[in-house]
Amino acid sequence: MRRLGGGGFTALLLLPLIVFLALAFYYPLGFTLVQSLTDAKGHATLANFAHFLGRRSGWATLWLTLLLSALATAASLLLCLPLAFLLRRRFAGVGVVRFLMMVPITIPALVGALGLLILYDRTGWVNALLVRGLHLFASPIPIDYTRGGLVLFYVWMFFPYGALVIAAALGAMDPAVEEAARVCGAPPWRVLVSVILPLLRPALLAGSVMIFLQCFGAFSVPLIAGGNWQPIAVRIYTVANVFLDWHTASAMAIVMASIQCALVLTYQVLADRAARRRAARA
Amino acid sequence: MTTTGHLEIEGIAKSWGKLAALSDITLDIAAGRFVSLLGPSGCGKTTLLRLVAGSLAPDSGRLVLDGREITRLPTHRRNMGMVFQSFALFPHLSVAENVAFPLGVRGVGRAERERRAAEALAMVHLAAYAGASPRQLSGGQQQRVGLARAIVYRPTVLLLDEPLSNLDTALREEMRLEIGEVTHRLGITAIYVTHDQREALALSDEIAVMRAGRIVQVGTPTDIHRRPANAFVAGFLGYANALPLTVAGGVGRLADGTVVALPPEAPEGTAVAFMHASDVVLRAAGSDAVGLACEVTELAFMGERMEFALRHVSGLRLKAAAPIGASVFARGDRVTAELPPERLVVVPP
Amino acid sequence: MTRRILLAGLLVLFGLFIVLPLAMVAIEALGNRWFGSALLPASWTLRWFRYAAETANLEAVLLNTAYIALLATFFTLVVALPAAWALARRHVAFKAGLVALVLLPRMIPEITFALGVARIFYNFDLTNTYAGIALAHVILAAPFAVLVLIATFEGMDQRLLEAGRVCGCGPLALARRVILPLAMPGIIAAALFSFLASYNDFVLTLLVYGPDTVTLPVQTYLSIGNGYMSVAGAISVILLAPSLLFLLLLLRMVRPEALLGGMKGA
Repeated sequence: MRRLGGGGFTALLLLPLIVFLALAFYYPLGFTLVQSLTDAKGHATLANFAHFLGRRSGWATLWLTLLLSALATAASLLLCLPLAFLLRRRFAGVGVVRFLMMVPITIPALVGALGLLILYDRTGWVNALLVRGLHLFASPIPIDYTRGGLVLFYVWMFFPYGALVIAAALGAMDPAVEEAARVCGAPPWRVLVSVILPLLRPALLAGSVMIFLQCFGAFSVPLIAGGNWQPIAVRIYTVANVFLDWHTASAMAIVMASIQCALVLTYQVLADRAARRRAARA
Repeated sequence: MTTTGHLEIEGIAKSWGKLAALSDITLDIAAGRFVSLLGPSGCGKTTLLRLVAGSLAPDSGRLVLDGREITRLPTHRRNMGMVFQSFALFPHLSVAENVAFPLGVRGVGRAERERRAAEALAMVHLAAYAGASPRQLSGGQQQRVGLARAIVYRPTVLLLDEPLSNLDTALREEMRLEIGEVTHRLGITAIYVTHDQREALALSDEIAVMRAGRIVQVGTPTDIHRRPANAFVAGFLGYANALPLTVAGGVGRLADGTVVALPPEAPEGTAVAFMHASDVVLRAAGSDAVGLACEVTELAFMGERMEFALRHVSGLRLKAAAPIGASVFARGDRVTAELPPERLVVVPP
Repeated sequence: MTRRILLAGLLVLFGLFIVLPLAMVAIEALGNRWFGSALLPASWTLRWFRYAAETANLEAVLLNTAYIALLATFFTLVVALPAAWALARRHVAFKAGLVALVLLPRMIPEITFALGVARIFYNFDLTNTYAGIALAHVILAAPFAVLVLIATFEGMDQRLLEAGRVCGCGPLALARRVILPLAMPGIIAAALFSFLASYNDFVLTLLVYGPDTVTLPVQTYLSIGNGYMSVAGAISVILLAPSLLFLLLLLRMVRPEALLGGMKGA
């Protein structure tokens, strides 16, 4: 296209964003990194990392975070797949399903967390159904403030990220390919296993990563509905705000950001390699 | 000769909500015949094919294959083969794996599978591409893989859904010949959906012309071409000229009373006479020729021939075509357009 | 037939799974004396809204939130519009790397940089100010806005711009008469996203707010912490409204799957 002023003008256009992010994001991030590597007197040290990772409680926090995220991701996929298939069909109310699917990731996480807390409380409707309705249990079972409860709440809050990716991939698939498989004599299960799932693999991977990352960074839900189960995001807040130990909190934040970046990079490498393999065959 | 593949379509109807996609379709397809469903888009031909394949269920009517009702039989148990407009190859499988797929789901052993896939690929001249990915192939090659995949398990009926529409013009003819060759060699019953009358005329034993969810004419290509049942069929077969007439006592008259000589079997009453542009003979006005007095309004050089747009004194517009050098007319020239009666096809409107 | 009933049953279950938590918030906000194992409150009331207005300073909190969100939207557009134009339509060296740097705030968890933001903003007296909190929200909103705007500007037909120039538009007239109207849907979308990101934000706000700049999400959290669940419910209902309106609006325009480009890495 025709340039109106060349490189200098381009730089001028980019300047506000770059200056802003440098001052408001990268400077604080760098500051956090420096904090994590220094003690209260400003001397360089690795003690802050040792303080977090050198203890069993630190590893327990990490393990809890990863475990909750992995379980919630797996459970979410079980919800995402049928939902994605459903969204392909035309029926009255498909718009409502779309709307409902988007609700958890559009509303403030805190409101969702509050609602989940009330619904799954010992005196909430779910326990009322389990105990008084279905007579499955003699007394209310604890769901809030348990790990199982957190997994359930994570699913509620984050499954849409996966459902969107998988629904998009399924929608982009040529329906004639499935029709071809059926005409070729493949019964429905075989069409699913031999044709649809292999074709959905990139989307399943991408969707899983999206859900996992959201769970990994979850803050509002475990903050108010996790009780003593504090994943790393909540732990960082507690260490900084309650114990006022900003140096350890900074070290934890750096660990958390590094893990997340490593996950994203691993995914990118995996996805790129798979794409290259497909391209090499093509 | 083939003994299986006799398909009876009996009174099939299908509607989408209030919209009738197919109404009362009845068609008997004898074993080994190549039948085309010809019609404009939206006429229901693809819907009918998908009903036969089992991808859709009819609202009423029956499908009977070799004496056995298959109306409610799920697709994967109908033992049909299908070639798709979009090729619909499995992108995650190689060419050979694509062709072997139907054998795999039928539990055919590995060695046998490979042998038969290779055989089918050889039949469509793609033996060299067995290990390639479908994406490496050109459109024409992909469609030949599609054809191999559809016939490798000797289906009872082969369904072809506009298999040439996604191909370049140059490839179409080659692929059309390939389809004709393969189906004749196998003697398989084939149903071919198309909106291109040339494909249908070239390939078929029989053509069913469809319009708005109904079959309007069934016949051999020669029948359909020579004796279109009505104005729609004639128009669809690519006649450039349509003259509305009133026929009384074997004499046709245009709206302004101009007399048009007709072939002997012309129907009485209101009718439409069709004629190809190349059958119209142009003569300079004032010569002793008998025909319609016209003015040349536009002319176009088309390579091996010239095309003329004409306007008759009554306002009627005609098209004529003549080989280069046969006649030289310019825009604005007055001409007489001769319409040889034996070339006119007169049908009810 | 059985299949349809089964399908309808599953849909109803899915609907309940999604809606019930929000219904609980509404019941909590509108219920009078909802104790113990009672399924529904003894009676319905609006007093929690009044109570929230009196004790939690709801009016001021709502104004704070709206004001900060408007500021954040404005700031976001100021930094994102020119940058997105440059990235979409001009030659930029190391473009992919630059885009990655712009997107990083959405790729790492909010808490990991909220910590540093809080310290730095404190040092510069930006905490407990409208502008400061709005700026913190721009960190979240800008990457998203840039993505949406890049897509908008890239999708613009070059021939229309050329037609504009041929018709005699100078650079300014071109921007005002051709580019702006063409890009308006994308700009509106970016603005709505930014507004909502700020209005709904909790984590960053929690670390940079002060007594004069409490926002709706923070007040919801404070009320839960104080044990006033009904007040938290009442505030949540107000907090929820823009999101649901936005969602309705959004789904009228696009299928959610089409938004993926903007969500990746979020």
